[in-house]
Amino acid sequence: MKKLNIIYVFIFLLGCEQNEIPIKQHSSGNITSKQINMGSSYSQQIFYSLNDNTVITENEKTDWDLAFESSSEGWNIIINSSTFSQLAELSDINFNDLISVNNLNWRYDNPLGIKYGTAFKDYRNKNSVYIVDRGYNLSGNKRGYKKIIIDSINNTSYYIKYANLDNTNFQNLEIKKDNTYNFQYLSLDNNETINIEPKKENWDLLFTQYTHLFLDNEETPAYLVTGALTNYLNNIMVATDTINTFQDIELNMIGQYNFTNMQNKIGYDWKSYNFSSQSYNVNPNITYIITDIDGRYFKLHFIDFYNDNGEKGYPKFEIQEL
Amino acid sequence: MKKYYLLIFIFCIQNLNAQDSLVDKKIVLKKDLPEVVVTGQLSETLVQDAIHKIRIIGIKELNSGLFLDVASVLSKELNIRVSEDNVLGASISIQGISGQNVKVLIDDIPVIGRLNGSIDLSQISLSNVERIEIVEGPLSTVYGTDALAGTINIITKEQTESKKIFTTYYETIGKYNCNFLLSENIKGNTATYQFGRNYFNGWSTNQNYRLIPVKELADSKRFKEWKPKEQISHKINYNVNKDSYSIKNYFEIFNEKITNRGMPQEPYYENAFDEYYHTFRKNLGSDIKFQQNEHKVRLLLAYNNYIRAKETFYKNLTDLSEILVQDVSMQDTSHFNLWMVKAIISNDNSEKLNYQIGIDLNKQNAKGSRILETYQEKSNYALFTIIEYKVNDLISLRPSVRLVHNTKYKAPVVPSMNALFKWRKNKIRISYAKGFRAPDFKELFFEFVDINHNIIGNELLTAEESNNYNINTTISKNILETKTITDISIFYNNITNKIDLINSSLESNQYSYFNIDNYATKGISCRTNISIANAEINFGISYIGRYNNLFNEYNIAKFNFSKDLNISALFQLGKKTKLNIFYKRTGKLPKFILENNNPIEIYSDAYDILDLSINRRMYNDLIIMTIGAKNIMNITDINQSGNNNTVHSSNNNTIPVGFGRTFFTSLKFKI
Repeated sequence: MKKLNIIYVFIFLLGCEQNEIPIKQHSSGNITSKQINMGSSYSQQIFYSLNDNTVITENEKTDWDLAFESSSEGWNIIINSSTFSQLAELSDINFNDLISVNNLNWRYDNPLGIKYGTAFKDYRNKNSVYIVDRGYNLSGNKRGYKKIIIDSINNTSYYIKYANLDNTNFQNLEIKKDNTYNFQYLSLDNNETINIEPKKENWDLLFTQYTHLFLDNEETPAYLVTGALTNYLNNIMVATDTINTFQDIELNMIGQYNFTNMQNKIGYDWKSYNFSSQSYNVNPNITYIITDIDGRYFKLHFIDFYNDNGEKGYPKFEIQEL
Repeated sequence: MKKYYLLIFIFCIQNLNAQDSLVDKKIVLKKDLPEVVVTGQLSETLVQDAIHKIRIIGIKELNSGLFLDVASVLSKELNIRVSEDNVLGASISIQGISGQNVKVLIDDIPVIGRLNGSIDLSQISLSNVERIEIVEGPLSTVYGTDALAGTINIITKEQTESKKIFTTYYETIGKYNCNFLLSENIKGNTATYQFGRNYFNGWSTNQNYRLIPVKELADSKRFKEWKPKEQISHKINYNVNKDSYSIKNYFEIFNEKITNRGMPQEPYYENAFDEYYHTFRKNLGSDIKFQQNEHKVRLLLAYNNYIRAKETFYKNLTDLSEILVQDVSMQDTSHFNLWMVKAIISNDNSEKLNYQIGIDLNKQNAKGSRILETYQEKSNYALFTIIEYKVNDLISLRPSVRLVHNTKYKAPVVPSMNALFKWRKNKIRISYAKGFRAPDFKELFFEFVDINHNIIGNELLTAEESNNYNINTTISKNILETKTITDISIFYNNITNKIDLINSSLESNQYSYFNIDNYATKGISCRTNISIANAEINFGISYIGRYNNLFNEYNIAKFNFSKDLNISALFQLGKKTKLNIFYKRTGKLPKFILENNNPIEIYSDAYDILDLSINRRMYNDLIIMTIGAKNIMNITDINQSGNNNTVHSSNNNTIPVGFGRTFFTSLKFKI
């Protein structure tokens, strides 16, 4: 009887979950890679330089609210699209009038870059009051509203005033321009400009959340996405190649690419969300060819969106100068 | 596999005592024994005398060896559709109404633990089940919430003798099951221990056949379309049977683990997300019956505990190390508890008027990170009464009503009225019943707010209510040795206050639950049972219409109809061999969806499942061997597509319905 039991148990213990045989690790050869730490809630904005494959500076995305074009002839103002900020313009009211935020016509910056349009548009010959919806903080709560007026602008400074919607915390501010930067960043919490972006010569890519505009989607025309923007104002140009593999792309193929300096040419869609596995898949078959003002060429493709602990928000890419 | 069985046989033969007999004499004679039912009845009643139309899945179907769990045997039934989800398990719809409105009972005690509203019926094993009673239409007066579309009552076998039974099962898809039962008669009382283990190794289309699971390379084949699953259960019963009273006690533990090995991630395929889904059930209870003068008293005490946990690990496939992912949306554990006291007094001795009065008290709680304030509880107090009045020899009436008070939502008063007309051996049953489904914890208290989600429960919800109308005729005829029973049912269900998840505020993109929808189904079904000397054949056809909620706005049909068909045939071949054939055609199911504000009709295709098995008794009936084939027509996926090919490809997708053709063998023996 015992023998019978043993055989019985034996056969059916064979039907057990088996361990796996590990696969071989790939060898990366002479290709360098870099992992960017945006945090699993995408809280960080990270300025990266291609030249030495390093992160120059980083900041929390909620550190600032508005950025003012910094060159002496510049006048554009952008809103913080990484917090899903939005802006409404009210043309025929006084600054002190009480304003309801319901039924406003909200606008966004065009993610292609300032020359494709900003939420502020060209405000210079208007007396409009602008309502800034400061978007969401890191825990997903609304950061509140401010109203703002641009009093004047010249080659050296912007003059603005702003306040809460109930007219408390009124501020009058001068924002000084500096030709070595693309933008001057203003925090509406600290009421002063703060250092966010490195000098314009010193960086190439910005890893951040930003607001993408899906113009053909009525339900969610604007959506917060996570990706890479370029230092387009310093003439960083990008082309994509989805036909040749990363390994095969060489300098002599540069002639066949169409380079553009749209800010979001790298953008967010090198990864996609897989609903059945509930995780992000990167698409390593998109190679980005990037050229800087010195005429150097780099190829870059993404190979991961997770760190070694399986936390999202850690884009990893391979990069090689051509 | 055959080799092993041979070995087993040899050992068995050596050890068998010729006086033992596995085959219960009762079972052999079952065909001629009257069948009793209990679901919703005052006491044990002959099935043909019950005022409700109760269908029985009995020993003949269960002994065919084809069915392992409740979901698989119900999938062959008419008016029932079973849908399988890799992770959520098997859920059923009855009369076109989804599983959240189906009450599932084991020996009259409700099963808890619903995922997306449905109970995973593949978690309820058929080992030691005597029969399954199915009542279509509401039984809410007796069983309360969820008993709206129908009630499934699983009646377990009560062991009275000392015995040991081992069963093994192997299916070529990679299923390895075994269970055993030990029962001991101690001075008239019976103690029973049951152990079960069901293991499924996972399967993907085009995977090679293997006799036993082996180590495999951690490449993209590690991802299985049908997930590996292991279920382990232990159950202890202790039954006391005296002349004037009986007490049945049980304690049960069930664990299930589903492993979802993730697809390795591009480009180097060195990492993957592996998910594990755990279900833990603990059930404890007593069923006490005694006689007090002419009254029968029954007391049901039960405690049910249900835990569902999801864990996600990030696995490095080059060294097989894994780490628990810290992202909270990838981990989730929910706990549910139910305490129940049900006391029933019935009187069924009178020729004219019998009655039952009962109270049904229960308390439930839920714990979990996606429950408001991470803990909620609700209590339910119900009083119900049933009267069975025999007007004359031809007509019986049964009015009943249930009054409910719940601490968290407003429960409706639930009446029902059944009538039975007998004429010779023929019967007509007419019924009206109100059913309801209480909003569940998730609908009342869900809270899932993060950067991507904003779903909250609605504490102001009321119950979903239904009105069900049913007419059933049963015609019995005996011609010589041939006995036929034909059964025709017509039903209509109308559900109001149906709960749906909708966008509650355009401003905030917030979703919540509201009593917003209406739904209806109607249909007709016909079943014929023919028994001749050595065979029994069942044939059924049903035609069910499901309400089309776009009907109001657009000029389209109000109901979408589907036609289902089932045939089963059981043959006794000689003294020792039985042949069982089960066939079901699940008909084409149309539905309308909106595309560019135009309603378009899409279908999920019809499919046919044919199963066959042969049972053979051997060695003085000590061993029953079964071999068989399932899904002989080799169905894996069905298409869901539009009426013509011009429809956008987004509507063309496939629904997995089966593994394809498999073979199995099982062995049941007594030591």
